[in-house]
Amino acid sequence: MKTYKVTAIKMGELIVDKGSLTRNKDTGKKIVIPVWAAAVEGNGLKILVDTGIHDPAWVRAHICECTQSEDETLEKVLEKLGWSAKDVDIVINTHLHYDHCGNNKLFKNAKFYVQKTEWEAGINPLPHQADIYLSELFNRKAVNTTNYVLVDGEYELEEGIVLMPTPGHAVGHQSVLVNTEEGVVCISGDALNLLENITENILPNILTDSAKAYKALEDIRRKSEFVIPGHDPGIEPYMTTGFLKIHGCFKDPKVL
Amino acid sequence: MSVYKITALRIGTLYADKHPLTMGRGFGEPYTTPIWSTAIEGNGIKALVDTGIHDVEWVRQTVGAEYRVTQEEDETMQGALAKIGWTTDDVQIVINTHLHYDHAGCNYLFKNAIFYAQRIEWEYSYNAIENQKLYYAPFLYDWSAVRYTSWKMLDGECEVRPGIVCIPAPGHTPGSQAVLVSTEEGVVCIGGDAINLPENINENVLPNIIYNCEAGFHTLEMIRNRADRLMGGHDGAIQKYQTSGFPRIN
Repeated sequence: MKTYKVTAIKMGELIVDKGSLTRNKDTGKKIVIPVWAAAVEGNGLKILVDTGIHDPAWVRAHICECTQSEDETLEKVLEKLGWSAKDVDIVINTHLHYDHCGNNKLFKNAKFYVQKTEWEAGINPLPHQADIYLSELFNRKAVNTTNYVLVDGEYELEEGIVLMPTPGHAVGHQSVLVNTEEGVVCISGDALNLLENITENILPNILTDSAKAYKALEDIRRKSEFVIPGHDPGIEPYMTTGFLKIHGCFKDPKVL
Repeated sequence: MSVYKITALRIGTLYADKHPLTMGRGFGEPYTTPIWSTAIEGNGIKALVDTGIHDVEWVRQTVGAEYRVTQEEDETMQGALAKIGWTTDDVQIVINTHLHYDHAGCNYLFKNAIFYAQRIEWEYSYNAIENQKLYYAPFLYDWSAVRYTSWKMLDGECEVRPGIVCIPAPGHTPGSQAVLVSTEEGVVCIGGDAINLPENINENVLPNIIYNCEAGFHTLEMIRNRADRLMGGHDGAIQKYQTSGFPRIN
């Protein structure tokens, strides 16, 4: 069975209300959260899952407090990984919110994998999410759009890598299951912002469909052992092993 | 044309009534019900259809309260494979006809295999009708048993290899599938519980553990038209390690 190396990469920090990450829990508390993306390498492939934010000043002006140190730009991170933008074969966007596709424009040789429903939601967003989609980050102004592969449902990208729909936070949200030596790691995007979303079964509060969001958490529980949530402070930059364990705290499945 | 050798592996026995296997028949009639797994070998492939039960004690406690369950030494999965010269690591392909506990029990043993099931069976297993909930134990097939990246979740018919075809066989459960295997004796259908016994298919009798009767009859008709012989999921007339002479479909 093919395995890959997964590296967590940090694209900056946001300051948000905790209640926006955990519905009806800790509202009114400010929290500093990292913006995660991930690099997946193996079997001759270089893959990025999400591309972070394009400009912290734009984020500060339009969304929330935001910082990005010099070594957290995607260019610098790629350098540190020993990658160059032109080497990236595949970019997967979990969804098209501004903090997950900000640097799509850097990748001229990549195929981009997005759920079709997310692409459509991105160019024609629900009113309450219009401010967090910025179409110029992912449309023809950023990317040769013939490089998009618009996926419809669960999809085996390569042996050992599965894209799975996890809608609820965004209309066409997907998560990425990657087989690693330790087990299956779910790069969840914002299907869970923090580990506690899945261990305590608490929805994120940025939502398009609550029932689907609960189903997404359940599907991730069934299918994966570890997770890199979209914004969990428990992940360290450049971690490659020991990602967050999903099971053992919420409901312990019977162990063989 | 690729042909394969198939071998019946017995992974234990339930001592139950016949009526769960044949709707409207066999009430109160004791039936020694083998739990079959089927080995497929040939053309460089070692494949297994269904993986039996994982633990006879678990079966007794969980679902077997009202009947006896036994497992002889060569009826554990490892014991049965050893008899045909296989180890669990040799198995490249595992096909689950469905995800009931007696068909997916030993999935966790096969670390090198690619697994095939119908996607709707996986989904249904978490939302089964009341009288089937007991038969699904997700820890036998979820992350704790099989890495999800090793699954091929099928949306319909699939040629696994030339001469090995999974076909949807709904009825017993919504996501049941049967496996057609090309052999020297013709096409053998490994029926899972879509067809427990030759009687089901030759006399057009549904299994009595049934989700949808109409789909069940359609499945029987389809298999009558596609297969020459039957390896039923619980046929008591089949012998341990039988490799030929499987019952004919009339």
